[in-house]
Amino acid sequence: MSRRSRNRWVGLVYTTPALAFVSVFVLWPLCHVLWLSLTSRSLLGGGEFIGFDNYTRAFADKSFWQALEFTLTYTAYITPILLVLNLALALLTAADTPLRRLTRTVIFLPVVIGLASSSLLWYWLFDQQVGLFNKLLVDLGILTEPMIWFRKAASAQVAVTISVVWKVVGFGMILMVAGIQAISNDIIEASRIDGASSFLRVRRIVIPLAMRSIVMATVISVIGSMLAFDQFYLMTKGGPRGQTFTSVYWVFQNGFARFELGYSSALSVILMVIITSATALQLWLSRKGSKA
Amino acid sequence: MAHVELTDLSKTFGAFQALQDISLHIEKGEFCALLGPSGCGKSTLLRLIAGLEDVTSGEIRINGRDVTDMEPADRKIAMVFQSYALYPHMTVAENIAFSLEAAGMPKAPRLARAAEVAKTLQLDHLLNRRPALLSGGQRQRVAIGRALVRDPEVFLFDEPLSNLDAMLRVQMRMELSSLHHDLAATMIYVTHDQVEAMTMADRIVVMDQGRIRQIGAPMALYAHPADRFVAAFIGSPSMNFLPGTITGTGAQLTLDLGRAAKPFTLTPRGQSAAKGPADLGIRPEHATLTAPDATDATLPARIRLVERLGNQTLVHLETAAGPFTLQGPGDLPAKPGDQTALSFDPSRAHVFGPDGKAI
Ligand SMILES: Nc1ncnc2c1ncn2[C@@H]1O[C@H](COP(=O)(O)OP(=O)(O)O)[C@@H](O)[C@H]1O
Ligand SMILES: [Mg+2]
Repeated sequence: MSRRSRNRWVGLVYTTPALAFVSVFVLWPLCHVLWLSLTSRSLLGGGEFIGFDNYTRAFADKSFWQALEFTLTYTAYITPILLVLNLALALLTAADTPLRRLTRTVIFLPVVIGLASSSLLWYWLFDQQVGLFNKLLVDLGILTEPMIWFRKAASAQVAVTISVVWKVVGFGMILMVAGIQAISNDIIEASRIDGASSFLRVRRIVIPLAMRSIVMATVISVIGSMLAFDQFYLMTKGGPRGQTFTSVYWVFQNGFARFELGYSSALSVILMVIITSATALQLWLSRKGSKA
Repeated sequence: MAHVELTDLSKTFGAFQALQDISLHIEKGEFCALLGPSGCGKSTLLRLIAGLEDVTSGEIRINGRDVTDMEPADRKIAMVFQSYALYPHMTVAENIAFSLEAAGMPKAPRLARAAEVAKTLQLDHLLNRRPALLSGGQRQRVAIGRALVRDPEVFLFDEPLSNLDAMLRVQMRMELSSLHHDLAATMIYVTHDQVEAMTMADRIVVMDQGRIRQIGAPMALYAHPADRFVAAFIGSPSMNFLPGTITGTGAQLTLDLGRAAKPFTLTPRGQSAAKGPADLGIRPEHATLTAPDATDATLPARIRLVERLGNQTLVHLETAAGPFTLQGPGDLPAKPGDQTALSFDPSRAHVFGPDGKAI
């Protein structure tokens, strides 16, 4: 065996665990969903190959497109909120002092809680009768009496947004902190000698040099928002009057409430294509932006 | 009034004393080198002057103004970092112009000014490049350009040549010297390389373990090191130290270098001497080879190794008082194994007492 081909085999052996993991938990389910989407399989079994019927049905499914529109709207407003908060918190806590490390840890803590648990937690915090959040707002004089957050779509979305931001803001913050800390200290000091104000330094030095992690945090948050489910399932149940149904919620409804596994698989595939394209577009735009 | 005045500067990091009682006056237009081994506090001192680090105690004045508590940008200094610290996402022009941008100068005039500075540094064809696409020497020049554009009172350099290869280093050394000559600006230059300090500086400040050991013009330090540390640090190859005993004091000092050797007499220069142990310091070029039975032979020696560099020869010898390196002309007759003797010029010999101070 030549040295080269031997090296290739050794490389393969080393990557086997990772390849096995990806095959079992990513590639195989993906293929399975692709296959299911071409069948009329029910959750209880049975069904047959029906070609692209599920897809033609999906394109005519008004509820699905409404859910997608709602998901995109949700993504469109929560992403900038997260981006700004991530960056602000990262800038405030990036320096490595004990107090800042502690603050970072505290802000990051909710990230390790499951989204479902945090949604339930906030559901109770928002409760009209026993919710502490309501009590706080009343005590602070912001509300005159406890409000029913989940009666109107708008206030329900505010409630969901508050809970999700609380839950995930630490994640993007940590990514950006890593990016900011990776900037060489010399460069920051050079900008101090050059007389840059904090604002100019952030705008002209810190943000451009931490751009990779800022983009990464944003892409991850966009993907997360496009896949929103738990928070609405647990807090709004898609209501009021189906106004807060997200795409994944609709996939879930079809697969697990109506047992239409084949159809819900087709919806998943469409969603996957949309999210993948959106991600590719973001990465391409950011690369183009950093070259310009 | 000196241009830069440091008075009783001290700096501690936690419990660690990085600098202790540093007092130093630097004249306007002077090129002052801070020289010392790695970790002796040179960069820390430079960073105190720059304002990148807060002083623990003491005072810094630049051009008469007390700048001790001022922001770096307000001190009218510019600094060239060892890593160059160029802004990697900006072009050469933007790098040079950044301090003007920070000062609020509009885009067109500041880029024009940057182009002017770049021209004097032969960077004009690189104005739109990013630092990643520049050679080490070009990056160095951009860093200098960034300092020049601010028109500072004092230039601070932290080992600016240490990332360059040997040939470029020699060239940049000359360029920095002529820059200093042209600008007649005050420059403080940190280096651990005694050759850089010797060749460029008007005055060298030798530092060790957070303290100043000696301040002087390069040749003065070379000829009259105040202590053993300075003597060993300046000069390459390094000074030879032979352990001995002072047996006679007074107008003439007599030094016994042990068995085999003849007593060596010289005129003391420094503090008064007492009888007892002392080291004789001889620079490699201040010793000559002579026959073992010659009248000027002080110390018998055997040649261990001969290095011929063309214009000079380095001879490594073994003596009863320890190893010795001698520097002679390129055609010095010497070969390994030869029995020979060393002869020292008393007017160029140094004696260091047990405390390391020159006698
Ligand atoms: N920010 C700091 N915190 C703690 N110790 C430091 C710091 N900066 C420098 N030191 C210590 O101070 C000493 C002098 O450092 P430095 O001035 O960088 O030395 P030099 O430039 O002469 O090599 C070193 O022992 C170094 O470890
Ligand atoms: Mg240093």
